Amino acid sequence: MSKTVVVVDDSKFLIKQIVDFFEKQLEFQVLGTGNDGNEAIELYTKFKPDLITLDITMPNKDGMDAMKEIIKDFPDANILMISAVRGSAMLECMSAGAKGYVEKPLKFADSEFVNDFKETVSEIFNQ
Amino acid sequence: MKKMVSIKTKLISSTMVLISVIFACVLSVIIIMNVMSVEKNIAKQKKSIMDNLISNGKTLVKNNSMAMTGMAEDNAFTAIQALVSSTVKDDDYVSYGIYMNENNIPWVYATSDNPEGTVSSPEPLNDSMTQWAAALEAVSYRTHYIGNLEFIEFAAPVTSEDEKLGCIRYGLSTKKMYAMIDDILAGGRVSRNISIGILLLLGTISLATGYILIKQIATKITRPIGSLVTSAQAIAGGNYNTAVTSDSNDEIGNLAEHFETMRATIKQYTDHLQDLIDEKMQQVNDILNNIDQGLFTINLDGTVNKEYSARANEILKVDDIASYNLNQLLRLDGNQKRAFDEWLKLVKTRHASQRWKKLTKLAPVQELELLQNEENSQQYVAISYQKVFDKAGNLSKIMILAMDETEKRMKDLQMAAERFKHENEVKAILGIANTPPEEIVEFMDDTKDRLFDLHKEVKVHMEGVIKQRTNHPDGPEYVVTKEKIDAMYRHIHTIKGNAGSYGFELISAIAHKAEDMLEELRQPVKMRRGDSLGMITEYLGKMDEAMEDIHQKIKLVFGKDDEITVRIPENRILKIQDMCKGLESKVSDNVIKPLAIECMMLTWKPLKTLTRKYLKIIQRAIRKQNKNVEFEVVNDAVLYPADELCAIDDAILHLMRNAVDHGIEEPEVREEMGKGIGRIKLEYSKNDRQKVILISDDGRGIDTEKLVEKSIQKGIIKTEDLQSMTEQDKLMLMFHAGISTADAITDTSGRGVGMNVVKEKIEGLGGKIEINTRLGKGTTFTIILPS
Repeated sequence: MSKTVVVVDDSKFLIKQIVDFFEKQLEFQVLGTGNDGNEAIELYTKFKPDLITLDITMPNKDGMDAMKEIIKDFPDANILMISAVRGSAMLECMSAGAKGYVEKPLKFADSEFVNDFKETVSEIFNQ
Repeated sequence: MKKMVSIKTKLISSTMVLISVIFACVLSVIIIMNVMSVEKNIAKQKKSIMDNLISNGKTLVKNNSMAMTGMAEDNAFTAIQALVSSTVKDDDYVSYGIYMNENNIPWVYATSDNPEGTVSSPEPLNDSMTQWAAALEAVSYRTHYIGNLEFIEFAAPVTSEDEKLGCIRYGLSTKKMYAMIDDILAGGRVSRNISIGILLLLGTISLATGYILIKQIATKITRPIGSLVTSAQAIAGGNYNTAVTSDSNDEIGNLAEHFETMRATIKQYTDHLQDLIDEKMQQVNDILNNIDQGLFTINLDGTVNKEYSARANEILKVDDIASYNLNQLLRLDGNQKRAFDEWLKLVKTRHASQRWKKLTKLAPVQELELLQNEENSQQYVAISYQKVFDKAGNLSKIMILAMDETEKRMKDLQMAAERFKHENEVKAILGIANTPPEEIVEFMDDTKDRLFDLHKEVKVHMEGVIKQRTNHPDGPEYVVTKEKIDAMYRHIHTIKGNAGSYGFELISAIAHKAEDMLEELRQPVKMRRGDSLGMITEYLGKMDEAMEDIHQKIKLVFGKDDEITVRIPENRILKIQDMCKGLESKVSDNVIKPLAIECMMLTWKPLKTLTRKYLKIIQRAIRKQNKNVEFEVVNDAVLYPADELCAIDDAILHLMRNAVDHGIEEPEVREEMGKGIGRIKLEYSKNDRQKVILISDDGRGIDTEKLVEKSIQKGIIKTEDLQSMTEQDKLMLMFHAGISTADAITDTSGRGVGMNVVKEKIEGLGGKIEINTRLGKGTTFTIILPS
């Protein structure tokens, strides 16, 4: 059975790209997509997917807060941060329990980026 | 750990168990045999007692019966009584004695209680024994019980010449006989117990002796093993110096010999190993001291270890890495320190499951910028991290590599500067080549004039500063008024903007710095006014140089220098044009007419220049919307009067903005549709009768159905009108006041004036507007104006 994922990002265009990647390259089943932190929590609670991807900078509730709330309710949640934010914010997310991270920009045409993304996902499921 | 049981103990206990088992078997066989012989003996004894008893009893009654025959014939009652009574009294075995007559009436009944045997009331006896006795013809006996006691009754008839006179009966108790048997039995038991006791005693003695003997043997056997164990313990503890010896001549002695060989080999090996380690450590230290990289290691708690490369001191500008803590070495402030601790924690928990590359990317320090001590210049140190594992394969330390990248960085900067310079050159040349010469000349003249004015102005202020300082050495600084600064700022800002739009970025960049310096003049004094003005003068000088450079390039691009450097004051041209006005229509002279036309064309400009203002405005909208659009102006080198398009500026702008806002799709949509970059085209042509302006885009086109639907909704047309409407009629609904562009094209809201204003404007000029559209392919607006 294929794994399930929920994709959350404030850019619809990027959501489409991430969803495509998960469906076509990783053969995940995408259960839902959201545009901010509140939707992230709602979707996670509703679907309890194998994986949720979160952007950090988002309107209403940012990805870091959403991540912490999800971890609080579901300590085993697999959370993948996908963000352009570098440095301490990413470190904070990882320390708070995110299982992996991928840095924007999403260069899906670049094989190095694609491999890193895939490996990051496989690391999450082998932890 | 298993509980230790020594070989000695095992040897003793197993031997003892063996002896005990053998002893127990022997003992039980002897007891069984003993018991069997005693039983047999008792049975024999019992039979002989019994036989004896029976023969005595028989003799007794037989003798009595014969003796009594006479007494009974004579009815010698007293004699019978005396005989019976004395028999009962004298014989210990006889318990009772009875003489009864032929009618079973007892004459004597003697017991131990009634030894005389007197019968007080003679009644015939009627018990079973009496009946048995009465029926007897000869001597007989029979066993019977009175209560619990067993008796053997012997009886015989007393007869005289075949006439039965009576019966004599004696009861012998078996009690005495059994007592005798018990006595015999007891004797048997005592002798048995004695023999068992002797056997037990013998057993115990042999066990004790066995134990002592075995213990001695076991001790003798295991002593060499014990000494081997002691040697092994010493070796296990790392002491290979004591030799293993054993004088034993058995397998243990053999084992000890092998053990000794092994110890010697290991000792040799470890001695060599220590040499090897010392040698390796020396090599490592040599490497660390000679390596051109700053290396040091930290533990997972952030403490710094002793070992480091000599170069690390130099790179991190300390005298001894090991005597500093991490905060000092990596110049961590409070927040970074916390982040570093956080990172170390993350490394500890995740290093096994996550790629090291991704983990180190999260490290709070990736680069250090240190001040060079002597030259006071920046030094760039790249910091990277490596995992160090201990012998057991666990992550024990992190190695930090510090690399001096200053030289590389400087080269990069130099290269960037070089690149910037070359790019500028290329951009400048492209700018010149793509701009009509008139325009470039206009820019050059304008900029030169402004620079000239600026130089003059700055010079005035410089003099003012000097004067102020001379006249009032301790007085306040010279003040440049706000108005003057504003005026200079405007000049510089214009130069910056113009230079930028033609691709002369070097001038733009210098102008930008000059602007900053002018801002300095507005501020309360931070640096001396003279210095600020001096800097501005320097920038102006640089701009002069850059201008000269561009001038050279212009010559290069356009060829002859004089062709473009002729400068005619505008008023003189206007005067000539004024004089020529109307000439071309009044005269038909072949010489005069073209001359007049050429005169009029002196101030004409290429279409590219005329449309530049639209593009500038539209570019801003494009940037804001993050769209990717390319413009094309067809035949943009053709000259037209400067005011050719002025009347319909607004209409053109509106249509072009619409094309950007609603026509061209978002980049991702276009990519999906395989349409690539968006294109907006402007075409202008004119003849004697009319001017035609075409504005087209390759965007999403107009949805006529939707437009009609909206128009019906808003009551602009009725459903029945549709039949008589052509496609063009329907499209024209777009220009209705109640309809916004957005209604027809997208779901997003429209903006700005409606299309109705555009239509009114064009119709006001006596012209008309037409639309051609294909859904998904694009839209073309055609404006036709009378010439």
